[in-house]
Amino acid sequence: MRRAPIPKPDLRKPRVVFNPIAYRGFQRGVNLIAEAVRPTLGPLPRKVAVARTALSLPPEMLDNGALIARRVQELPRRNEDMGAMFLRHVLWRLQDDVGDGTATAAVLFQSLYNQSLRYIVAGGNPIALRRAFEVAIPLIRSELDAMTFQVQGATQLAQLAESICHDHELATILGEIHDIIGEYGQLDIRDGRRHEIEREYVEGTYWNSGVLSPDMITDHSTLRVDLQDAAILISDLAMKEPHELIPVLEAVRRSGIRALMITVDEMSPSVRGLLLANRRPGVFDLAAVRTPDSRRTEGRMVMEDMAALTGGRPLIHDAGETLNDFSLERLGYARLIWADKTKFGIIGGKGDPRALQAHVNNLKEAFARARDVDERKRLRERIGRLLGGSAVLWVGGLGPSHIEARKSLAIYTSDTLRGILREGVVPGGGTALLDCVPCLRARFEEASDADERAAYRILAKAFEMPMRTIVANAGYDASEVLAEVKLAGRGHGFDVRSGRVVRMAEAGILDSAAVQKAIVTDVISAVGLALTIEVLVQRKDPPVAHHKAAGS
Amino acid sequence: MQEMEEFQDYVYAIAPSPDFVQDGICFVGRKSGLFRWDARSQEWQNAYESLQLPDALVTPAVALSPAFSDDHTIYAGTSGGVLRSEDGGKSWVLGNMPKPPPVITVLLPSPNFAQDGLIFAGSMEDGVLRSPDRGTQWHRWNFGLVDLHVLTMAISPDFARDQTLWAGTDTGIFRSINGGRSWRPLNFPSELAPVLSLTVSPAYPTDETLFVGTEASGLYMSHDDGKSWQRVSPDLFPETVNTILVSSSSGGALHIAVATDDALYVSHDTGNTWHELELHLPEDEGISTVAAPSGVLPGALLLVGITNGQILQCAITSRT
Repeated sequence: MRRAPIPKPDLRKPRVVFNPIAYRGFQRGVNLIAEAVRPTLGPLPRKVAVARTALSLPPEMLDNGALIARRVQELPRRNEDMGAMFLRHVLWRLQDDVGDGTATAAVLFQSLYNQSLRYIVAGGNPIALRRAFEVAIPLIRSELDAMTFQVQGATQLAQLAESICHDHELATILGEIHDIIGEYGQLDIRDGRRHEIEREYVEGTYWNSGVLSPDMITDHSTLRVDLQDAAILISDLAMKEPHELIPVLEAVRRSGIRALMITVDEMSPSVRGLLLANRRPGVFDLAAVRTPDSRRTEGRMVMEDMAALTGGRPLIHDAGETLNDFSLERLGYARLIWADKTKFGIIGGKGDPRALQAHVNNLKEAFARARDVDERKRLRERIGRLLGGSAVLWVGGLGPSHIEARKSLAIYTSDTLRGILREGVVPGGGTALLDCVPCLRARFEEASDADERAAYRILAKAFEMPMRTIVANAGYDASEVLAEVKLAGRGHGFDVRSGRVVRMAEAGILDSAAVQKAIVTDVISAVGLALTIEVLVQRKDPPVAHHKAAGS
Repeated sequence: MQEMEEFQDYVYAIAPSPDFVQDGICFVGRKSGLFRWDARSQEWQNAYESLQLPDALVTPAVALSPAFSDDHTIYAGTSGGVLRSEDGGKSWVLGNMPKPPPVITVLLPSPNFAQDGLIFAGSMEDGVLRSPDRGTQWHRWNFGLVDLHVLTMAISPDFARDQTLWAGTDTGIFRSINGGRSWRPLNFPSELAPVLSLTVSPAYPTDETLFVGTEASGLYMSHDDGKSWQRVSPDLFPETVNTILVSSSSGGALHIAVATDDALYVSHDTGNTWHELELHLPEDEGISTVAAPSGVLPGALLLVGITNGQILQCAITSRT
């Protein structure tokens, strides 16, 4: 028998949808995203095939929860679409913030939301439930804090990286890199030149800004200019007239300085000519580069960092300073300053180490306070530049799309490793969340308010779901395994590779504490918010949101 | 052979042969160069003779391979790089250093040098250099080392397993737990720095004990791997601590020798009590460095470097 045709929704018609219809539609959307992401949870994930925009191409085979959620751009039913987009946004933000944990978040969200809806439909109070959820967040976070411990060494980091990216070669190299550059170090991830993954460690720091004239390059074998034991004049000035610079060069020369690098926003051809004419290789070396980001706010920060590194005091255009304000005391110094056509770098800055350490500490405090993803990234890059080295990772692969996918993996694995180095690890494989359950059950027993009791009961059940899903995805009976794990006690979990119940920390099966804490906070807050949605308002012409387009 | 009096300058570093008790040989880094000194005959021999240098080559650091008796390898840290000799000082090769040439302040071979070939060098302005091939190639490895003025270094006796070493600088102490490839500041108050001497207990893997001597703030000890520090006998060590040497005995107590500018103290009970060793320092001269060829147990011999370039020998007593 043929099914009855489903009437197509009229997307052009504006609508206001009230509960319980709003809840049901929203819930279907949430479940759709969660079910799409669920198979990817765990070290033995299933793949999700996503059709490409060009239908002639084979589907993408994905096992990254955030990427899968991002590929779902719009659902035909608008109530469902709103639910799906809500969860998609939660997952996307989590990925941006901590780099991992989207599949766990999806599973946890689904369980919390579905259980809570059942309770609300049966007469529970959504506001009281949300309040109880919010009270539970710090409790759970402190439970996770108690389980947290630090990891160190390339081997442990590589093991963790592999549990995130499931790519042994990439994980091994990322483990080594982060063992060296730590949580803040600068890591440049580029397209590889071969099939393999390669890495290089770069001494000192560098910025993407090269020499102002190719004639300033003196070493034609390396195509760069090296200034040894050099002074640096840091500025964002526009140097247009040669006569402005002549007194500076004379003062520098008279002081016995044998090499000078100048950073400027702009330098006229005649001033460049003056520099080249006064250059005496090996006796008085001169070069100039454009100040990185000189025309943006970041330029000021770059100059601050260069000043801290070299002990110089920049000449700042916006402060009304000109070359007339130059004195030798404003120069910074370094063991080596180099530049090529696209970059320049400083090795062994001779700034005051105490001032440099204080500057780094200030940036770290600002980083800890910052909530904006871009600001955190900017601050992290600045800190990394001041710590004396950076790494470059060339990601190779079987073709451009493979390289691109591996680069994405490298970026989010690296972000997660940074979180691990900053905040430590907890027992993995869903064990940390499962080990929060006794504390939630204890609160359930203590609570007298019905909504509060419901909240702790719902949380306790939901916190079993990540382990259940990991076990099920690996092809085991989740109920049977969970019973064994509970019997084994705190810290135990299921190693799906060996098929045994083990002490997870000893087996090296670990999760980032930062990620787990972010999951708990983001998901519980988001579920609380979703539960208080009473009405869905739909527009006349649903616009294609910019962020959806960006996620395609 | 040249007379000792010709080189009245400054002793920076003393590296006794592992068989010092039998051969009495040590290499001494001085302002005037590197010298082979025979403790039995008290004779000095210019170890750079084959280089025929026009001027004295200041040698602030010297280290012998832990397998010196077999490989005869000596490293000399100079203002310009690290020289290596594989024939007991008869000929020298300059290691391949990064530019600009560094001024080496300290040399530190790995305890498992025979297997891993690793040797580290601290420098005046270039942080820590690391050679993975017995001193042929050198690379600066300064990730996280915010202060590049390295004055002293120490290495874990269990380096093969824990890959740990420390660098004392103008502003504090940094620690590496990955074989010197990256560094993190240790929790040592920077107002107490510069750090002139840094020593690790021979039983560090179990007792987690570190000793730090500062330029102006005395001697400090940590029993928790540098998390907290206790000042040791401020009355005896009010200011400069140039050298700290530590040995362990079967009883578990640490035997410690500490050199200030003008006195040498010994403790045989992990720093609880101290006594001063009798030294006949020349007038207006001070102690610059000390070496203990056979540890600091009672009865052992100490080699005391003096600020005029001489070396004094001093036996360790149990009590004064």
